[in-house]
Amino acid sequence: MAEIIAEIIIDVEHLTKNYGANPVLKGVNLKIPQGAVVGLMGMNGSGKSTLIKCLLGLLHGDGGRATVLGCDSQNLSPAAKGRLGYVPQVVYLYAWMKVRHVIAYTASFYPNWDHAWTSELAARWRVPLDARVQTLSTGQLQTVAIVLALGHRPEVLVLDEPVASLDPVARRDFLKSLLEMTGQGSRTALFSTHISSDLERVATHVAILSDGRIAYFSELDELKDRVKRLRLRRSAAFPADFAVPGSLRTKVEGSSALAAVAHVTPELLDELRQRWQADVRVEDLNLEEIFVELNSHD
Amino acid sequence: MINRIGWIVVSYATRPLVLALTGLGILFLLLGMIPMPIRPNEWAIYPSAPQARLMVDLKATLDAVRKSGRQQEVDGIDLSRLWTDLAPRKIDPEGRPSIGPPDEAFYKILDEFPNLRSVRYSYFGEPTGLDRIVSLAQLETLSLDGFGFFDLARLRSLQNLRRLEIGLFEIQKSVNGVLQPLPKLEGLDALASLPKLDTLVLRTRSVVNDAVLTEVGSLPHLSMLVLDLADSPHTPLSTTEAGFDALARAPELQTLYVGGRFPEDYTQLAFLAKASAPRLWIFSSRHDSTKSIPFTFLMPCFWFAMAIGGQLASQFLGSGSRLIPGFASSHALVGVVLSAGVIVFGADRLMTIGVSGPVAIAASAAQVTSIIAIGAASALTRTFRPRGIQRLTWMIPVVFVCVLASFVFPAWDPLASALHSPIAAVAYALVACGATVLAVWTLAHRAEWFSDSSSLERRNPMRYEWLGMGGGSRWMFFTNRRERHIEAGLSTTPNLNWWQRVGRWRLGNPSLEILPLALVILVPIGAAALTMLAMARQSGASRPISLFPMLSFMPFMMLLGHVGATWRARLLVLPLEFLRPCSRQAMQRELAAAFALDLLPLAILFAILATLGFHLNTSINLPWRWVPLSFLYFLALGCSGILAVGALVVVVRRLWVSIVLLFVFVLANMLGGAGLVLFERGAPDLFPGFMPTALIFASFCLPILFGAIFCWVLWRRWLRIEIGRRV
Repeated sequence: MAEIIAEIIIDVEHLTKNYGANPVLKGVNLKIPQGAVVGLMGMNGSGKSTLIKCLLGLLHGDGGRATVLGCDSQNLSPAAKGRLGYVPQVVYLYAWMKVRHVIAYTASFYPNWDHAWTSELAARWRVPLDARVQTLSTGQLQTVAIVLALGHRPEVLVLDEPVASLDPVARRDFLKSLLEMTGQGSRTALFSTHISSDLERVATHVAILSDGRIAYFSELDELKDRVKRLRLRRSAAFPADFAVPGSLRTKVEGSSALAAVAHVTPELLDELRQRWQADVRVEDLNLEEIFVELNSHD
Repeated sequence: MINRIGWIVVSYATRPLVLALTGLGILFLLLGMIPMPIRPNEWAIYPSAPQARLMVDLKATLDAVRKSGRQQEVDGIDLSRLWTDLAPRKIDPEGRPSIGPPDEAFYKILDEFPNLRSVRYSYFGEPTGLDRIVSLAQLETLSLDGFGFFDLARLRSLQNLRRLEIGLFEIQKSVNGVLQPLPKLEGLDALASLPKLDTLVLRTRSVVNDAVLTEVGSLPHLSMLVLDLADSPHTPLSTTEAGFDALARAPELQTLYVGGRFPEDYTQLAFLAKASAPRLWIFSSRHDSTKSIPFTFLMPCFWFAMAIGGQLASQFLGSGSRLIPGFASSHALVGVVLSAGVIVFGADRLMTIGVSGPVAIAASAAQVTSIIAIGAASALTRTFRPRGIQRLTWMIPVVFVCVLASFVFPAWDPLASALHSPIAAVAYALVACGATVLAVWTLAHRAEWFSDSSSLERRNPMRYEWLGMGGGSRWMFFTNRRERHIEAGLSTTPNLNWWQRVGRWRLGNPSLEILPLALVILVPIGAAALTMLAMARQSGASRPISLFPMLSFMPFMMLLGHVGATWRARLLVLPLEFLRPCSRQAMQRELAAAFALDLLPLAILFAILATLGFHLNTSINLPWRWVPLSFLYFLALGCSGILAVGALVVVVRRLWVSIVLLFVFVLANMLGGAGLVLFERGAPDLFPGFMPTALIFASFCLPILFGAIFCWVLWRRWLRIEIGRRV
């Protein structure tokens, strides 16, 4: 059976971006195929928002290239923009307008705006249509921004911490809608978040940004399969400089040791058992634990 | 407490915006101290004679008129200059070239021009040719210069004469071997028979004495008297209160210009005139550059107050002002002390130019507090709509119409006097301070009110309503019109043309929040402006009319700043708007056009105000037929300058950088335009004949050119702007 090669929707090659003398992106490479829902994770200040803005042409990269839907990010065509939806991290809207006016105003720019869908979303998320934007809470603002981003049923959704200010109910509703939209595999999403449980619910892929580069990018299940915690126990104490080969971090306490390993193989387990005469147990990690291990500097 | 205040002072001293504004204030202060390349009291600032439509003053002009057969159109002639151009050159016994007095034959030239209304005439001893001049019954303006005795009774036949200027040379000089007597005016009482004579200008020091003023006081139709003792040696004036007592009895006299080459001329004459004739408008006839109000007072205080107001607004906007113990009181204390310092500084500057203490303090306080109110108001524009003050909006045009009326119709003396009196100045200052207190008080409470605006209505509906956030009526009807447009029009018009798309971008701005802003800004600004009028009247530094552009400047700049700030705030929404389905280039072009359209009314307003101020300024006295041309010029100037200034605020992200650039822009215009004019005035001989005109033309075009260059540079920057960077 011939392999189906998915179209690359977001393609980033060697992207660099500096703020003055401070390099934020140091050569990012990322290829997101059609239908992927990619969770972008990274420490505070790691450059998640900068990467997203560079992808959308909101910031100019200093080097490398980025394309979205086949268009150069710095010069997105109207057609490409018509297929994009974006929710910024901090939402600013027309403070003096009522919410329904903001929606109408935004809709006027899109030839394919789905008014019925927007109304449904607004009702589902209890958006106060007659309230003025300046009276909305941060969470309500974010909800409005999400409605605006989804109103034209975009093929590509780029969301910069879209649910950070939402309450748990609204967050679940949003994730549900996101799953509905991306479930058929034709829509692609890239969203940054610190809430790994959300990411685990909806993401098909995970990208971890660290030190200005994509430190890790793969399918979520693959990541979970590869990154494990090893719990070692032996009769004698481990030496103080004990370290599991290829581990992200090793912690020694007498005759016990904990190690997070990015790539666990049967060969590695056999070697540990034989060399250290240790009982080695392999534990699964959730995404949050993986993220902590990958970014731990201990 | 001391430690806390020290850190607050550090917060002022380390903020680039505050440093930039303070630096600009100091720079303007230093500029005011630079000696100008003009002598003090060199410029006459009393209303000049109406300009002739076609003036013959040179041989070249005369030849051109004769060649084209336009003698009928000539309505002005300068016999003095014309004779200098036409006279045969002689060599005097000492070997120097000289020009003799014109003979009777020269004055036959007057017969060529049947419609003369203005004549400048010089005589040398015997006033030859005068018979021909006094036969010009239609003559309206006569300017006399000359040596020696002259009997004014000979002018009795000039029944249409409106303006008479007399400048007699105060030196005894031998003319054709005959020693001329010192000048004296005789027959002045005969002028009483001239029914239209309303303006008399005396430029001779030695003829201004009590006897002459007494005779002037008897002229029944005289409404303006100018004592401009400019070209005279500095000899003591013999005038006493008696002379001005006589002037006070002049039935129609309203306006008196006094002064001369020396500042003490104004001081002495104005003192006597104010004591004897308080009902008269008394102004300086000469511009005293040492009393340059903009540099010594307005501009430094303006920038200092901006720095304080900006810092206060930014500090009070944060939640720290409500949550940190002692924060608000300490900041308020530092703000009050600094403001008081600026007020005292400004008042001191004013008193040095002759303004009395109460008016100086009132004017200074009004200036400083109104600027601080602007700083506070800038933080309140989106939410500050107390209804009671809204109604005061309608007072603004009323106040400005009154002020304007007092410019245009000085005959409305009671109104003008009331508007410009010291008591009114103090009252205006109180209004300004009150508005400031209200604005700052509201600002100080804003952090609490808006810390959780979503639940505000539930917690305190009355306060919510008072702030104008409930119901439908609190929004200005303009805004409602925009909302209706969004509801009715946008969703049903899928294919928009370019203008419609530009209009759609404009709909994203609440540009007509200008009215609530005007409440907080224009009331104190208007009050401040009126105190300036009182101040100007007291100091004699400027006639009120010359303050008109300056008075227009402040509210105008505030409106401009508001539009700029609105668009600057729009930058926050741009990351979302940028992803709407249109190309980056199209969006940038359409947004720039929308921005320009928002500024166009301001450019038109600027052109109207500037044209009005230009033509109302009787020192310039241009014919009214020049109005369309000057309007077009000011419109071009406004379009380029306003667009440049507005774009600076929007495109340059760091506010302090845009302010410094703004200063560079204004300074470049000042140095470029005014510098060229001064250069041309000071050294006309350095240039060939065509150059001065070219320079003047260039000096007028330079500001437009600078504006255009700034616009181009900012446009290039706008094309490269990173929309995703935070403002």
